[in-house]
Amino acid sequence: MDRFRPPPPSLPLRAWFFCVALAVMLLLRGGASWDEMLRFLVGLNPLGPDGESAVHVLLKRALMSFGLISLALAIGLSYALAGAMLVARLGGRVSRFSGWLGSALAGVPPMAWALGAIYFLIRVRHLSVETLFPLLAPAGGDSGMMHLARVLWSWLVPALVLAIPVFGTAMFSLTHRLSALLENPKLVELKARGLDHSQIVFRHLVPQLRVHLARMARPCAAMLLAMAVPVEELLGFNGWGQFVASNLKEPGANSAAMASALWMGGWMLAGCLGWLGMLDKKDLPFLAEVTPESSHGSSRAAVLSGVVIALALIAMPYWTRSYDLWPIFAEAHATWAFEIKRAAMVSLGALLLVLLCGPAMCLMRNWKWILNRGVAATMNVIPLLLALLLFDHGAARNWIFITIAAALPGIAAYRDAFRDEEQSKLADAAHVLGVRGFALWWRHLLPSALPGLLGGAVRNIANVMLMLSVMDFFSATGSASSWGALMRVHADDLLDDPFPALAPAVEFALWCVSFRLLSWGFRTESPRPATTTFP
Amino acid sequence: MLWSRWIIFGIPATVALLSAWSARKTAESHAARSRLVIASDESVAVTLNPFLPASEVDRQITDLVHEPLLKIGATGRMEPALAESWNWSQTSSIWFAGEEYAKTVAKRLNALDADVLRKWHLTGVEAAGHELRLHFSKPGTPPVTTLMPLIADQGPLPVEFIRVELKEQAQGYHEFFLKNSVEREQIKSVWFDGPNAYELAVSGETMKFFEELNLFYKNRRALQPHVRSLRMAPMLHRPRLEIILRDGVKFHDGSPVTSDDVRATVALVLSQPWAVPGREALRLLTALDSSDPRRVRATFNEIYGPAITAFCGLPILPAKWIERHRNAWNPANPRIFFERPPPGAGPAHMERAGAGAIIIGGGRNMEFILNRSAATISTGFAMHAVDGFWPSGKAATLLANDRSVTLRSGPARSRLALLWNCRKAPLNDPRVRAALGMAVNRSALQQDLLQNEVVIQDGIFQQGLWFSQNIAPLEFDLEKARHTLEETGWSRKGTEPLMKDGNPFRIELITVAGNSERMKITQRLQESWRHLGIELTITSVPPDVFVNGRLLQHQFDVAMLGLDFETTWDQLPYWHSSQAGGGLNFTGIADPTLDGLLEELRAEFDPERVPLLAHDLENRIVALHPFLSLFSVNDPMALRKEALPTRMNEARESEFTLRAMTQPEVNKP
Repeated sequence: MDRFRPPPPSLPLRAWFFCVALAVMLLLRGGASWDEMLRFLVGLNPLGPDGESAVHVLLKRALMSFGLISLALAIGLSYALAGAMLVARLGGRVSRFSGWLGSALAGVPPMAWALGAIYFLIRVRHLSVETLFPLLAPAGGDSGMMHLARVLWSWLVPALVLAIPVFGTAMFSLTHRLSALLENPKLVELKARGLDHSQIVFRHLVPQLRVHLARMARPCAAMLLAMAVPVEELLGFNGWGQFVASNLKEPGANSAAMASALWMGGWMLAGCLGWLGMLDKKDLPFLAEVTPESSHGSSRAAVLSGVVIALALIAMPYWTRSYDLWPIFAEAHATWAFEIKRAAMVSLGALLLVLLCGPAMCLMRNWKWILNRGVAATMNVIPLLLALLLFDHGAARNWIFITIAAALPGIAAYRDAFRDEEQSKLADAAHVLGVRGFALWWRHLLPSALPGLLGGAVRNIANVMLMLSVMDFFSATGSASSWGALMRVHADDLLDDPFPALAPAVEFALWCVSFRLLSWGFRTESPRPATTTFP
Repeated sequence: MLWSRWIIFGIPATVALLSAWSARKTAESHAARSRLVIASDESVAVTLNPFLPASEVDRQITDLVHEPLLKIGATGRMEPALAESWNWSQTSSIWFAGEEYAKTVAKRLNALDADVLRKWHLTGVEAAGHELRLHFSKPGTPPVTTLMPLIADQGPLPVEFIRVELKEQAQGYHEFFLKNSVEREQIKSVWFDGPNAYELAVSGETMKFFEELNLFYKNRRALQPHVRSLRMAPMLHRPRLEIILRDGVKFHDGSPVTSDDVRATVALVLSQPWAVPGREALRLLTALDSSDPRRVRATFNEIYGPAITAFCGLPILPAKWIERHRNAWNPANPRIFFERPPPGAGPAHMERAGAGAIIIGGGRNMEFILNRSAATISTGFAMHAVDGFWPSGKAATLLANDRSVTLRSGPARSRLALLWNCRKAPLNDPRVRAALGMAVNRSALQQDLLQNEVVIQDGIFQQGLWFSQNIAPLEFDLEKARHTLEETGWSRKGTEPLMKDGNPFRIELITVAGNSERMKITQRLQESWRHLGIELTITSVPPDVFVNGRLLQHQFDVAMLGLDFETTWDQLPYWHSSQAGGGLNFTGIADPTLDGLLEELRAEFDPERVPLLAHDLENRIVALHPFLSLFSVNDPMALRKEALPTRMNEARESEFTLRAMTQPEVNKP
């Protein structure tokens, strides 16, 4: 079974339209007149007090961010593909371990990658981060190659930082996929034809992986768009993300500026989805058409690992003391219960929302345009972006946005499951027996979907933690009461003492891995564990 | 198959190679950088106004780009800059009822022995109508006691000084009065103090003149005139400072520096509301003659010894530039110095001034990077993209342990002090004031709250100046403070409040609202004095209420106040008893010995004699304890040692400036 279905060709347009609709909503909330709104949509006139929100001003920033995100995507995906190919030769265990390592990498907040990169480059490797302090060489005092190198380096550092979570996500997915492909019994047929391992992989599996990669990269593009905000801010990259970050830091951010950012974000997302669509090939080679699901390790082992990690984290004050690690983690560990509790609450809220959508889908089953594939695919790619751009300091509505954002991938997945189940033979049989609508959902669809939904909810805790850490990072006001805020507060002292800023990220990543492993215990095909914005 | 292998493994390999190459080349590019990069915090305001530096960046750029007539040199003494030399002289005028009286006295004085005249520094005597002009080679109060007996029999007329303050511009009204006044002949000198006030020196039948002037303004009630007699004196003194400019000095635009530039600069400063150091001295100018391009002749309307310090550190701008932008001096355009930086005559010139960076050329090129966050600057410093910056207290403490970094600062420019109200019990007793000072552990405050940003320094003058001395700081001694209070009758039983005659020791400390750092300090003071049983109430008030409603009215017990150090040795406005009623003597201290010392120092023109008088004055003030200097604030600069020229490694703190770093390294091979 193909885990990533081809999205509709109109996905870029839909994503753009969705962002524009949200931008207009933001504008109206900010009290803009219709006239202003029309001018805004045309993109000619500034709405912000200092003109910074002018779309034409943002255009340069957006182009830079688009280039950066595209570069980061290309780097992350290519490294993941190469990495997956290499580890596939080393056997199933190494492959699985690499996959989970990738998952752990993707669970680290983007701010931590940026801060870590700054520390590593400057303090360890004694290299410069060119975007933070660009060198203004005197006229004639710099060769063309030097200049080219500096420009290249100023792009590569943020691109490499953004590529890490993409690499992690893709690595997890590709190792999983490759393991599944290599376990395909049809390989025997190919071997019987005289093809060796390399020929099978490169001739038959790589085209499939490429398509898999392209489909998986779509939500990654939206994720990078959101991650570009803290990364550009911390690395001083003068792009769209830095513009958003500067507005996010101010309580009561200018709604016109945020609307412009959202508008531009829509264009960038559409652009990324567009070029990724070109890689998506519809005619797959022989082997790639149908692939059995891989177990990717037993569920019991995964759950056990998740439990062990969680217990180790809870018991951290006891065992870290013997290794003199406690002072490093003491401050970060103080907030773990708070972090988990609120993430779990949001995830639970999102689960309820998904469940409530079930009866709604039954009622609207004939409204194809609502339940069509495009809407689901669009909803799947924008959660973090949506939550970040609609964020408002201290407002209660943030929790509603975050809950909706956390529920969107689940709703999309649930919708797919609903459609599949409804078209199954079981549903036909139920129809014959006169079971329809709500009763069908309640008796058949919900019980089969529930384990998957619960698994998704557990996995969603990690996603929500990531989302909240980015919010906290921008809303920190000196008092550090969460991991995101701790990173922000200690970012100033990073080069003198990196542990206070990076320790929360380590604990954060371990909790994320733990929740993902625990979710493996609910693993089922219904609803499909489709790729969300988060790995 | 082959191509897919190349793509799958080639792209990551290419990215890795490109990363390594670009990182290496970027590092090489940074290593080859010759420009000194200085970064400043986003909280730092940069205006580039050379007369009113808003930050250390402004100060350093002004020092680099602009040149004053005189400056404080590395040894802390006044040194010529644009000026080649300077000298003082004085003309004192006495008026008589008739011309013959003036001539008689002139003849009598000219007939005196040359030794006597030399002793008096009297170089010429001249009768001009009713006026007798005495020309002295040295400024200051003439030997009135020996001189007056020689002229008393001719009936010299006293000079009365009258001040007129109006609601509107005064010049037109004065000219109108002059045209129509019957007694106008009595006016000997006019001096405008800003647009709305002027002072007249009149001699003759001054009662009549005063009546006529009063009558003139009485009919103009809308002007809200305030006419008053200031004082009477036997003669009118006009000290004159002549500054000879160095030959061949040019501004960066190629135009020569002339006396007209000095005149235009002084006029600009006086026309603006800028609190320029020495502005009060410039206000005493009655004339500034720039007829000779190389000589500036400044005439003052009273004997004021430190008048020369007004030109010390005052940047001189081209008259043409000032004239060209004369319409730009308004609050609506505060960034004129940023947008159109004036050419200076300093060792460096401004190449570019933008919102994000200022580039200085000449000698060693410098780049000032502005508006960066503290974290970004620290990052830039760590990655060798920044050579120097002004770290916060915490960062400075960390950097102090870094061997590759040196923390340099010039002399402290301001201080935070506690002013005691010397007119109000219980602080009207100097012993009580001393005891309260001894109970404050300033070292602990410095370490806990302000790290390396401050130094503890008692005394009233800026350290490093040729007339300042090292005063031993009042030591923290709680036991001694307790004994001292007991001696004054304040006693305490156990943990009860400190009492005297049944009254508790209860005082109020006022501070300016909105300053969290000061609030923390006041809380520490409260804690310190609580150990003595003193109850301290902290009141924070808005700035205008703080000065006008509290300090000027002496409505406080203790006031926390930030004060800037000045180059002038005149301390009369702050401590003289005559300044306690509505003046700047907020403490209200009144001590005849102190008054005498203040007056003597104010009249002293000779920089060589100033230290002696200044030390006496400072010792007297310290003994009276009218204030407690908490800290002197300096802004240490963190500099990479490799960026510091070798010759500056052993330089004294007071010698450190960025300007000194621009000098070419002579010992460098």
